[in-house]
Amino acid sequence: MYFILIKKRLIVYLIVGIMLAVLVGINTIIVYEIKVLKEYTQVLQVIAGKRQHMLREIQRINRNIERAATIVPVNANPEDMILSRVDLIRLLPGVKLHLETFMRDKENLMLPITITYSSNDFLKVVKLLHSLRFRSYPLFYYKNIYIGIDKGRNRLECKIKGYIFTPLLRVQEGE
Amino acid sequence: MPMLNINRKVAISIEEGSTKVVYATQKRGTTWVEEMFTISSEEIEEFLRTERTKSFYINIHFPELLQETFLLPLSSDRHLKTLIQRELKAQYSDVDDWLFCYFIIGEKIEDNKRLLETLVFAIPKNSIDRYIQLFLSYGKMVDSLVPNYLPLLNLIPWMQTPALYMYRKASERAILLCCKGEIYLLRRLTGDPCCIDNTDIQNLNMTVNYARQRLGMVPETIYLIGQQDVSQELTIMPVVPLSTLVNPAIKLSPSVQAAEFNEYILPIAMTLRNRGSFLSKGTQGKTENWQKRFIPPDYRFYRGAKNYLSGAIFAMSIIGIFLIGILPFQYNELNNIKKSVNTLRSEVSDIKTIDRRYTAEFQRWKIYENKIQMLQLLNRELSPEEFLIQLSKAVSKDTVIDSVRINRSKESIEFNIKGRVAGADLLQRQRNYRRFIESLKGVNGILIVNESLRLEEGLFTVKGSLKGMKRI
Repeated sequence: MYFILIKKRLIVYLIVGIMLAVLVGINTIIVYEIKVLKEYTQVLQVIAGKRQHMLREIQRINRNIERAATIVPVNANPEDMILSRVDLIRLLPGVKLHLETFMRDKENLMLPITITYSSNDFLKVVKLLHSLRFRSYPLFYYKNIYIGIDKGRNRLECKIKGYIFTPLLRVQEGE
Repeated sequence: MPMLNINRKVAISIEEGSTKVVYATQKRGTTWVEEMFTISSEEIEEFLRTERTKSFYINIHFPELLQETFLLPLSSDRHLKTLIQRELKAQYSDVDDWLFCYFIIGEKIEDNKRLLETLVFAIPKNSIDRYIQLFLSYGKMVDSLVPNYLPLLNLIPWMQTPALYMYRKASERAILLCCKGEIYLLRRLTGDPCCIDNTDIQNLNMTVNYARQRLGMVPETIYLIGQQDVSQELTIMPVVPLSTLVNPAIKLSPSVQAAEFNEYILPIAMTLRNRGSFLSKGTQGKTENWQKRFIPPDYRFYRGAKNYLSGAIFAMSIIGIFLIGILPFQYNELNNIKKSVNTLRSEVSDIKTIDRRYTAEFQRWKIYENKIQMLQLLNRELSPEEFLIQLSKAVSKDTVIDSVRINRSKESIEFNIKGRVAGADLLQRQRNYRRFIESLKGVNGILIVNESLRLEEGLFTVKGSLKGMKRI
């Protein structure tokens, strides 16, 4: 009997309950989605930060490469470069050169060279050695140096053995 | 029609032939009787139809009210109720279910067993259901339902000594024996409709004697409740003094006729429920207890369920409205986050390309980097010309360098210096040589490994190594 009296209220209760459950469900989903998206946003922000960092790094690397390209020859004929360097040494006054054949290892092309020089001035010997210090490739790499006094001629005799080498680089430009 | 007031209580006393209605308001421990009127038994349905109050306190005259004294074994309250129910069913097998309240009025020992003397007031459940149905059919709730005369207990104060209370309304008489908040006896009588006469006094004296002889209680005062007109032709005197019961917690509003107060004492007493100013705490506890016992359990469940459902619906509606209210804000927030996510996603959509580009550039740089590092290392080592300059600085006028040889091996750059040192004597030669060696040692990047001097010829040989790159 009493059930009939509360039946209507019970139905309303159930409907309101279901509606509330739906609302709570929607709310929970939205709250959860907001939470997930916030976390996702944080991840994306980190990625965006890394992207910016990578872009800056790419610019920095490019600048470094540009600078390095003035020092390290790329895509040029290494033999030509070495020979042009030999020609430069040949131009030094009083210098005698003895060239051997080109050698090649995994990374470099080398031309063994022996330089003989005679002078009565110690400073000229120093200057010669200084002239062999190049700021860019190809470089002169000495193996041994002998400087002695020729007592008969009363001159400084200088003999420098080494090689001129340059790296064998092949780089794709413009990436 | 009275206005709807939350604090207002409406008490109805359904009596023989008429129904009395009382509106009362509780204010600071005082019950203010605001309105009281009488309607006929036929008008009660019309009254319920038009009355806006939802909840009622009801006193009903049940002719079938049963008053019994049972001797029951000492047990808990719940068990006592079961025992009473069982006793009632045993004695009145024609009634299916009883609603009752009980008062423990004493203890007796029979056959070495402690027994509780229990005064029980019981009504068949279907009698109460009839009235409940009446109120429910008009959408009204019954807050409290008490059979006739028991509401008087709300008026009676807690007293240490036994006292008799006589209620009179026209020809109705009810004599109650109370002590320490418990009722020991309720006698329902009829008498002269005009006044208290010799018969009433005789009944009171007999009740006093009954209390003395059967219950061992000596009432010290007889309190009169309700109409108190006493006959002028009284020839019998009461054996204990008569007095009038005054309840200071009841006040009449100016609009209420004081002369009619005594006729409405029962419904007024109903509104006194739960008041603590007049009743002692002990009595109040029991009062509340017995008043609820005439509400059928199924109706109580219905009322609880209805209240729960109403409360729950209300609470859920509020929560629902709140949730609906915040939904647009949350939806906006969600949309904003989605927008920012989309912006960020489009911003970082080329991350793979950039990563590939970065990797490629980095690999390209690696090729250069090795060569640059090699160049830096070569430049960092002590160059032969610097070595020669340092050597020339170390040489004094007494020292001549004959030859310098520098060899680069896989492990190190070694040098070998041959020369001569002059001096006036051997000591001077040695000193010059040491000076030369110390000067050479002082040069950063030069490490002397071996040195020797042939003093007689002044020839020396110095071997050492240069700091720098060991191999390419």
